[in-house]
Amino acid sequence: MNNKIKIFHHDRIFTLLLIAIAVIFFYMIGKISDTPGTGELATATYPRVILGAFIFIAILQFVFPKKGDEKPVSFPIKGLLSILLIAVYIYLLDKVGYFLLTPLVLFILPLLAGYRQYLAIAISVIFVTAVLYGIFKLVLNIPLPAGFLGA
Amino acid sequence: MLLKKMIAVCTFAVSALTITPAMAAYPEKPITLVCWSSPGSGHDLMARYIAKLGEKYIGQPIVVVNKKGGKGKVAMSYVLNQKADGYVIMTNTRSMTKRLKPTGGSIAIDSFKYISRVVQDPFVIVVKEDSPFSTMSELVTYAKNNPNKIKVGGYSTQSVDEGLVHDIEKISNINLNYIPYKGGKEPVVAVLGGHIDVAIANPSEMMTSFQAGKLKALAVTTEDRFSPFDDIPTLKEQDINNVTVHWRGVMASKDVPDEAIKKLDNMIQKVLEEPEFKKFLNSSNMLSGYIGSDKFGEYVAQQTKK
Amino acid sequence: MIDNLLLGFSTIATFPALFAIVAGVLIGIICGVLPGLSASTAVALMVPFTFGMDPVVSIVLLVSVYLAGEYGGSITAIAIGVPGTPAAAATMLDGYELTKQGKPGLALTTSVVASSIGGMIGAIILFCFSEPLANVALSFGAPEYFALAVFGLAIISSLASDNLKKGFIVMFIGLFLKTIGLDPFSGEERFTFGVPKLMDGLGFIPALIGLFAMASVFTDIDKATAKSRAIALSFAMPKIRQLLCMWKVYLHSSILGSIIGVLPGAGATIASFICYNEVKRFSKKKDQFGKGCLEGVAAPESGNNAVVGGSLVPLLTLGIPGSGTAAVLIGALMLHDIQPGPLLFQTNGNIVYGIFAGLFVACLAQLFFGLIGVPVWIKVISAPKALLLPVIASISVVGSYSYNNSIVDVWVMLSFGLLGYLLKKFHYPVSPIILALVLGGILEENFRRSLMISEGDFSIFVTHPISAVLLLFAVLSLLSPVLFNRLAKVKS
Repeated sequence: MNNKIKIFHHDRIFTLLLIAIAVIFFYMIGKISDTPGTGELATATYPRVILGAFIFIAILQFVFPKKGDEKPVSFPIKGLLSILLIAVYIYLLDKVGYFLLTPLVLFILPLLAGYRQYLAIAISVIFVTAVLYGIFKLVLNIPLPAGFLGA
Repeated sequence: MLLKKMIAVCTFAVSALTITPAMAAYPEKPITLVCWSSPGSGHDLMARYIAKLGEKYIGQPIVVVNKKGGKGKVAMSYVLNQKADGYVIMTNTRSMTKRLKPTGGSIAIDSFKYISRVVQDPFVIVVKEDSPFSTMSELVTYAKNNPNKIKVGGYSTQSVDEGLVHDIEKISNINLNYIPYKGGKEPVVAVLGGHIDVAIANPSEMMTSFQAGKLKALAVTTEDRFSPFDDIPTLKEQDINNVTVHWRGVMASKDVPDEAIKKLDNMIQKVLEEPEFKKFLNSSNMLSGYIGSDKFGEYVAQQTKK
Repeated sequence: MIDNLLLGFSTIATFPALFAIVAGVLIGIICGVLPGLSASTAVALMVPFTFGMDPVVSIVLLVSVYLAGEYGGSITAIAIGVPGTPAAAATMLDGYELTKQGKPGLALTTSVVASSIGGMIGAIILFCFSEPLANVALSFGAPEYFALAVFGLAIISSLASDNLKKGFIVMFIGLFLKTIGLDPFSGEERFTFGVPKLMDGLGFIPALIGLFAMASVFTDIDKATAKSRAIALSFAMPKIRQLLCMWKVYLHSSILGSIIGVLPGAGATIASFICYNEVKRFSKKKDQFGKGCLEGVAAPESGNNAVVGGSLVPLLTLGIPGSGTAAVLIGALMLHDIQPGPLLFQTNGNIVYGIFAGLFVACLAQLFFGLIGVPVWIKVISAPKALLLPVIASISVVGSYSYNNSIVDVWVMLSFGLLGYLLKKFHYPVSPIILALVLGGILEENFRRSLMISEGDFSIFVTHPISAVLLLFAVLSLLSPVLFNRLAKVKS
């Protein structure tokens, strides 16, 4: 049991994941083709060299990790939830609009972090949204996703 | 009864919707001019001058919006995805249309109506002050004896610059080593630093170094000589039968009504007459290159054919 | 020379010009603080405002925005570990460490002092040595830029000296991500998955925001417990003696920064990292770097502000931009019918020297407002971390969106956020990605261009002297950590 953990510790699994992704991309390069002129490198050569070197070093890291690399890594659920929240937020951004969606999403983030001063959160969220609106929309005239509210 | 009423309401609503745009005189709200390059670039400045000076002729504000990316593809697909009512138009360039197929696919030459060509930006073929070449024929003779030895820098691949170099190669039956650069000024810098032999440049990119005597111009690529390069012969004068100019213009989606196109075209024609626009052209070393909506489309189609 | 100096200062000694400097510095600091708005975006955004202004006033305004924008980025880098501009990623290495130790005042003050001194030295170099430096810009061809990129990447061996393999893994991730987009030579699409937006490659600013700002939100939520409190922050400021005795650091970094600024295509980010590395190389306190060393804050800050003066050298003397921001400045100058180039000194001397004087005064204004700002920033970051999270998150989203008015960039930002989160989890250093993203394009493009020029002959990289020397330095700095380790082992 103890031995198994040492061979496949979290760091190694992550390295394996990186190698796997790199191999997929390496395979994808094969589909790029062109005919280079004199002294010209083909389109595929440079990415191939980079990925090849990457895979080589990643294998080195897999085989000879440094002392301390084998420490276990945990993924608390709240961190993953926050990533999901932001993903949903971006997905809805164009549809719902920045100024409606932002305060809602931002209100949830401190709650995920375990902060419970609702009034303080509300004030800071409204303040931030207002300041960003002022800077981007009014001063710099940069459009932000308006969503169904229109212009 | 209720159903009848509803149908009545609906038909009224539908007819109101379809009739309104035709009845109202275009334009009745601000027009968006999409620019495919970044703020502050020469292209962007042209758009901003058209927006600023055109407002009084079209009667509505014109707002410039930058949609950068994919060599213009981002801006083009954005414009094509908007309602084709003439309120979203965009700037175009020869290098952008050069990359398009004549027809088919989601974006092609025939996806657009071409409002007007606004400016033309000719090319000047330059070498360093101490270069052994002073004319195109000297360059051609050398290249004949030394194929692929002359390094010619220009802006990007599959660009108008590269097309020009290939045309010269074909006409004179020589081989040059074309080296693409990322920006238009980079080839000029490389010539100044002695890293390459020849640069293909627009006047704005080589003017100051030329005036300071650090560059020699071998040829201009226009039909006739133009100021301030009155002493520089054209390619044609040097037995290379080629005229290549870069241009910038304005286009809209192909479904935009002709009436709107006509109005926008008229506006641009008037903007080109404005002294402030002339001053802008002069200071950025570009020539006026007006071609109206009646001929612009044909012109673009012809250029992309070959 | 004195005449020119007087001409310059008298040109800007008008109320509108001085007002423009103050306004420009304030706008620049604010834009620098916001991670989406780098100095070059800030300047580009200001250009339309200058349409109707007097040429001197408008150019002085833009230069002030540029200068202060480069400084502003370091504030957030130090205060919350989120670089506001790419160059500040180097400042963060030691600056944020000091904040974590409860001493943000030390880092913030050092940063503003070093920035302003760097800016001034840059301005002086611009004034005195623009002619010879212009030749430096011209002497860099394709092989030289390739060598510079290799030299820059070699810094990773010192940035990630405690775990080299991981450092290089991260570097190659960055170099690979940089290949996404259109091939610069054949025009083929690489890994774009049919998204037109990706043809130009991944946005650098969204990537930066994701890696630092967004990732820090995720990790903070991860680590947060109901009990976690903000670190107790002191208002302690560095002693004047402490600041003065770093004069060598300022001078060294400013000179390096100006020279790197002169090279078109290099820029503030590269300058920051190179300055950090070089100062570390010659420092007596090598082991303190990365653990909250004031020199580690001063070096990149002096460097990236000196870039401003440097990048104006080729702009004014050759009419070519030394940086992306300088390219925007050229557009702005031409709007006012001023042709930047060799003749500018004769035709528009007042503007050339006005820019120099303006830059100098802007440094003073930046010093003034920067110092006033220090206690304010400390106050802001004393707020509970949980309340800062929504601030960072929303700025990340708006910042990456406004970069190009595109939602694709926001997705790019989130992807980099995820990448940054994972890298931090598995104890990988993050800054090598920034370096790789900045240098990757220069590396590939100039490697391939060199080979086109030499018709496939690899010896071009060693027969060009500048390139050969830079490559030699790169090899040395790659090997030095290994050699030092060996040496230490032998000694013990």
